[in-house]
Amino acid sequence: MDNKAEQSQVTMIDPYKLWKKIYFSNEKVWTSALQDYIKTDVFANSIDLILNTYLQYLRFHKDLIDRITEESPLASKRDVARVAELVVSLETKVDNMELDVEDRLDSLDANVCSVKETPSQDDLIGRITQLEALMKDMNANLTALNKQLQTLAKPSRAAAKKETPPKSESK
Amino acid sequence: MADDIFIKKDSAIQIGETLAKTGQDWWQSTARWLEVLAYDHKPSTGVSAKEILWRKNKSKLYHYQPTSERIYRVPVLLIYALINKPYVMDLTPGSSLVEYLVKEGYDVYLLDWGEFQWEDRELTYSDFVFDYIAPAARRVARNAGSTDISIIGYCMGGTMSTLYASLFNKPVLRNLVYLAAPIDFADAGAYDVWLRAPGYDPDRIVDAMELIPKGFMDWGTRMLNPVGNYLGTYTRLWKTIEEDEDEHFWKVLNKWATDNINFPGAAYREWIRDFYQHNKLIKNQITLRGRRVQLQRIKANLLALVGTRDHIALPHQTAAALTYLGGNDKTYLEYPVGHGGLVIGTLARDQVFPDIAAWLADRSDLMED
Repeated sequence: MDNKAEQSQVTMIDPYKLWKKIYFSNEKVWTSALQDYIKTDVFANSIDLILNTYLQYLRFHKDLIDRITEESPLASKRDVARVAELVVSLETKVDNMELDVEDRLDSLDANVCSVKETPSQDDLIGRITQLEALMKDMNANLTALNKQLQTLAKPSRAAAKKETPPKSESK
Repeated sequence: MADDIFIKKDSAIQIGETLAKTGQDWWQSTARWLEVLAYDHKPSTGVSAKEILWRKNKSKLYHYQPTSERIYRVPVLLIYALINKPYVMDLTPGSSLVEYLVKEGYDVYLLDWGEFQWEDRELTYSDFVFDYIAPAARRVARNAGSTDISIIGYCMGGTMSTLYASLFNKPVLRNLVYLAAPIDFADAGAYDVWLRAPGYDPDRIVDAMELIPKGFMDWGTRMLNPVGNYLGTYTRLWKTIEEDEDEHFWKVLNKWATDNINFPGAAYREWIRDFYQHNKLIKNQITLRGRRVQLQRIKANLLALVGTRDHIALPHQTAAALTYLGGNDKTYLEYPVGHGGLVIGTLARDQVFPDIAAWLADRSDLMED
């Protein structure tokens, strides 16, 4: 039944699909063929011939324009570029300075971090008060000591006077 | 195989109706295709929440705002190339390396070079490494409160990260991730033929152009696959519309692919002459501000990711890092994608991003430590 149904069907080539198939198959072939061709010396040399002719024209054109613009009172492309170059070099200088400052700040940070147990302000005030009290105590002790030394020194000086003979007698 | 180009119907009338309907669909698809190309606004890209941590000249250092709790102490700095724009790393929600890493608990930063103008034509790789990458890395470490950082370098950004890694010790570069980053410039595919041709003289180009225009850079990249980039991009959009697939992804990708920037002439001269033509990086012959770049000095853990179909940075160019860099922890992973496929598309989202996050997780301190 199926075969009969198939045989009774009308078959025709789809021109759209055929064209699409031929075109895209061909494109692959052209791609490959041209890729091979561009790798040849013949292609490279012919392209260079065109390029060098163009460069000659470009050089002539550029020299001519340069000569005209040098005499012109208006700023040329080169003049504008010169200003832009100055701006960029200034930017580079600032940039280098920024990096330099950042490096110095980093090393400063590292040094500060290496100082351990940095005392607080309250801590410092407490310590100064302690020192002041200590100095007061020391002052009082020293005064007392001085007094004792003076009292001890008086009788010994009197005894020394008694024991020492007159200068003429000793001769 | 050929069956799908046939129409089988019960009658010729039905076939006629089917053809008429397909014709109408095609007409609508084509009209929509033209509409997208001619009128549709460009979608928003690089939308992850961020603040500008530092800026210099046109460049900006972005710090991405956390969307989840920060888990890892070591921050991640993304460095992109000088070609096209870095929002490819944060392309669109759901397909963004930045978004993924932030969600995984990383502190993420991105250095955006900005758009170079005439006054930037004299910038060299020394300037980029010493005046941009090095200060950015310091600021990232300082802001993250870490002595170590991880760097993810995409394409030329990876090469530039290598220059930095070889010359600077502070902050300590813990992890270095390459996404299709060329290290060895020998056998560089089509570039090898073009840039070493006798008629190709970078000095002549730079003397004439000074600031290499974005159109010239764009041409150089697109010509690596002329059919794919000049024609295939647009036919792919038509196919996407005709097959009723989401066109948003095509739009964001196309926006990024056509959004190029000018290239500083002095850096271009170095890139072509020193890297491509003389392959000085792996020979330790690159000198920046009097200091020689020695690859063996790089001791960071290394993850090198490559796309096997990449025709811009070929897999062996990145794999060379495993030979020349000095560390002991080196991992190499390959994926069946092209140059952009490491950060764009479903494979990037489902495989590459998780692989990067997991690799970094094993090599980054936790916040509690």
